[in-house]
Amino acid sequence: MSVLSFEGLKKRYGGRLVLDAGRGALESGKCQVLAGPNGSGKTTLMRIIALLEEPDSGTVELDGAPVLGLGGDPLVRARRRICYVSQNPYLFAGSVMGNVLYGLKARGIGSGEARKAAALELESLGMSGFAHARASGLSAGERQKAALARAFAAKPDFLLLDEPTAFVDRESVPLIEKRIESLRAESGACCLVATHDAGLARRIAPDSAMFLDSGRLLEGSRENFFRGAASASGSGIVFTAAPGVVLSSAAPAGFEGTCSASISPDEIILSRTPVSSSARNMLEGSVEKIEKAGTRVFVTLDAGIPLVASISVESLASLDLSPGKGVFALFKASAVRIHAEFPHPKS
Amino acid sequence: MDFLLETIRESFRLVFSADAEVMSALAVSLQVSSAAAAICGISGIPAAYVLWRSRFPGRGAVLLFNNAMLGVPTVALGMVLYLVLCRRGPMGFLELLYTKEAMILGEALLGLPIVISLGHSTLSALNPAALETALTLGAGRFRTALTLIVEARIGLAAAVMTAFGRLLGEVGVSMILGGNIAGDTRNIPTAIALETGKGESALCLSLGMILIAAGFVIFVLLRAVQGSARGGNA
Repeated sequence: MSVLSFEGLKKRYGGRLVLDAGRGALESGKCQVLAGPNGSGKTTLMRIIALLEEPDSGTVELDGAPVLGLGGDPLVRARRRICYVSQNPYLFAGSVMGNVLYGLKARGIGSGEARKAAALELESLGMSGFAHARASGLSAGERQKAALARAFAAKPDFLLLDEPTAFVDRESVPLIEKRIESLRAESGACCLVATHDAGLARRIAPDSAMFLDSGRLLEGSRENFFRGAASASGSGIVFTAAPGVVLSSAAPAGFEGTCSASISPDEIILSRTPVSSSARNMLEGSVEKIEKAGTRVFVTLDAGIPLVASISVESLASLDLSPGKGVFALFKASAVRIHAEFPHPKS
Repeated sequence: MDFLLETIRESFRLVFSADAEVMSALAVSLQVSSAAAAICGISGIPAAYVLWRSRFPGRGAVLLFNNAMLGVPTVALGMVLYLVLCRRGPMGFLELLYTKEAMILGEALLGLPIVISLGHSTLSALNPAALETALTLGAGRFRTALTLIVEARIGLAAAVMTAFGRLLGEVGVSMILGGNIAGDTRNIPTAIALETGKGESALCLSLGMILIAAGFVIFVLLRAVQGSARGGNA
């Protein structure tokens, strides 16, 4: 099993700390989502673990061996196991086929075999008709698909994809998801996908996510992430997520002032009627959107704040939920996780 | 006024009658400048790449020296090379003085700083994503270099063509190292210098017209090369 791990990565640009990621690991055969708001450090983290950028401090290890600071052939060999595709990828001059062949040729794969693999890869993303097209003539979505085909064809152990569906048309998204899944299943590739598309995140990595906020890698949910203010209240704290939306949290005192909070969709109970329970938080709202992902259903509510709850297909049927209907969301104070902003929490 | 018109008429006659002396000078100019420009391209582009990508002590000084060489007087460079190549000089045993090979050597040294300087600027302006894409796709050092040179080909071709244009009109190095031998090392610029002194205005004008035409052809070729090379990455 291949493991790409990192610890204590810090990066500053112009004196501003943009990344302070604690510890994380990518394992072969698994897909993970890297979530977080714009400017949270997702691209910086990906570029560092792709060995394209040096952090100010911290370590990156490939199968337990440090890879930061390598040079020459060892660095080239390490890079061949990790491929990063940026949101706005660069295509080399020449044809789309030439681009897809690039990584294969770099790995010394023979011309015939490489052409066959490149053609299959283009076909899997619906790009067969563009094989001989000039890369410069492609639209943004086509460029993104060509770059993904180029990375997929190289079959690295770790694929780091930054917003891979940002520009592609809706019809192509399932093709990309399918190919990511087949690479994971067939060759044991690990995919780390940075995306703002919650649906894509749920489909490709329903259980595994890393969340970055202001450069810090957080434990908690990539959904239901709110910025607000915390203040002491009894033994716990209250978190104001929006005007009039005050959540009770069991987080210890010390997280006071501006901070962020997250609530896992799995810890939210939905009810059509008000419920008297031990849950300290109950918000009233209406159903905005219902999305199915495997055996789970994600219900997005407007409850003064946008709230996503994960329920079963059976619960959806028994509650008879549909967009526009009223609903109550209940969750315990312990479900409200508080994340400190920079600087670190008061000691 | 009559003198000027007569000179122009005679110069056109010399150009279109393919005068042997004019054609010989043109051939020498093209041979020497093409060979020198080729050497500049073959050695200058890799040198520009190394200076762009590598970090080594003295790199800044090398770039500074190269840029200073852009303004070196051609007669000064010719004189230094003359001292090196003359019979009593350290390279005198090669017996290159007053040959086309000596002219090529001198012009190559004259054109090299142009290619290195413009090549370095072109590569520095290249989209950084080109380098990162090559690296993340697993390209080794040589493949990365080749890829980036291809990506920067339009600017690099312009650098070589600019050097070629500069060498085509160069006098000092050609005169000192070639000796201006008729039918052998006499090129258009040295012929113009000689014939001006002799008062052969029509011949000088015809040679000048050919130089201007050659310059025009170079830039038409450059535009054509740039046009066909576009369409790589947007």
